[in-house]
Amino acid sequence: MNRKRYIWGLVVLIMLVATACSTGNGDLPVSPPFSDSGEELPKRYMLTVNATQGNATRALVLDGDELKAMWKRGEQVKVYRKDNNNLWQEAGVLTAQSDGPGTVLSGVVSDVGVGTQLLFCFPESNHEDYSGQDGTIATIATQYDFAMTQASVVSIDDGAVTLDQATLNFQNQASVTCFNLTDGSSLPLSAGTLKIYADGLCEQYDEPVDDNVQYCNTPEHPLVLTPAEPTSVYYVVLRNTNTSMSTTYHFTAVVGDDIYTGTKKALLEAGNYYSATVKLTKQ
Amino acid sequence: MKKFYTRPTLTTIKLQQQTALLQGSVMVNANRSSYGMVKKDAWDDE
Repeated sequence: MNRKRYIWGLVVLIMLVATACSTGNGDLPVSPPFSDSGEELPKRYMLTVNATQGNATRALVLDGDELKAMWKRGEQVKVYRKDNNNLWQEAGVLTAQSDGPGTVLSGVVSDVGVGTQLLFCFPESNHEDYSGQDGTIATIATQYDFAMTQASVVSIDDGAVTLDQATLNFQNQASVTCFNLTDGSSLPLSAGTLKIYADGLCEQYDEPVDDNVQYCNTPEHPLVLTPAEPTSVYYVVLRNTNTSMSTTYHFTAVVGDDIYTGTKKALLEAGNYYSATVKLTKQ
Repeated sequence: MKKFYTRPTLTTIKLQQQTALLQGSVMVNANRSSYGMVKKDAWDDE
C-alpha cells in the first residue's frame, strides 16, 4: 500500500515538474532567463504567425489625426477593359509586390490592344457594398476601403503592356467619418446599433458600366452598423452620390431598450477623413 | 499569269485591329491616396 502511494506520488511530482517547465504553447524562450548579474530577465519568445494574403492584409492605419491608406504585398487589383460597346469587361488581375503607400503592380491582362481603356479596381471589384459595417477601422480596411483609377494602353511590345501613365494613382471612392455619440448632456452614449440615413447615401454602388450610367442603390432602409460591443465611437464609410450640396443625415441609436435620434448636415467628399460629434435625444 | 491584288477596305482594317487584341504582362507603379488629416468642421448641426 505504502509502495503504491509512493509510486503515485512520484507520478504526480513528475507531472507537476513537467507542467512548470512548459511554456504552455510550445514556443521556446530565445533569451536567457537571467542577466550576467543574476537578475531575472523578462522572457522573450519566438512567435511564428501564418498570415494569409488577400482581404485580411489590407492596410488602413490611423496615425494620430491622419488616416493613411497603404498597399500590402499580395493585395490584388482587378483590371477591366472597355469594350466596343463601352462596357467594362474583366481583363485580368494585378498583384502588389510590396508594402507601403507606393508599390509595383504586376500581372497579366487579356484582350487588350493599343488604345484600350483600362479600369483598375481595388479590391478586386467595381461593385462597392457598404452594408454590414461594424464601426471599426479594422473592418473598414478589410471590406469597405474601395479605390480605383484608369489608364490606357499605349503599346504592347513582346507581350509587355505599356500604359499612358508611369504611375497609377488610386483614388478612394468614399469618405470615412469618426462619429462620437453623446446624449443631451454631452456625455458619451454607448449604442449597440447605429442607423444612418440620408438622401443619396449608397448602401451599394456599381462603378459606371458605360460613360453615362451610374448605379446607386439608395436603400429604403438605412445603413445599419452593429459593433461587437456597444460603443460611443463609430468609424463609418459613407458614399453619397450627392456631391453638390449639403445633405441631412438622420441618426438612430439603440441604447439598451431606448432609442435616441439626431441629425447632422454635411457635404462629404470622397477620399476625406472627417470627425463629428452627434448629439442624440432620447425618444 | 497576272496576279490580282485586292485593296483592303476600311472595314477590313477595322476588323484586323479588333482581332489584334492581345494578352500581355503589366508592371506599373501604383500609389494609394491617403484619407488624410481629419476634418473636424465639415459636419454641421441642423
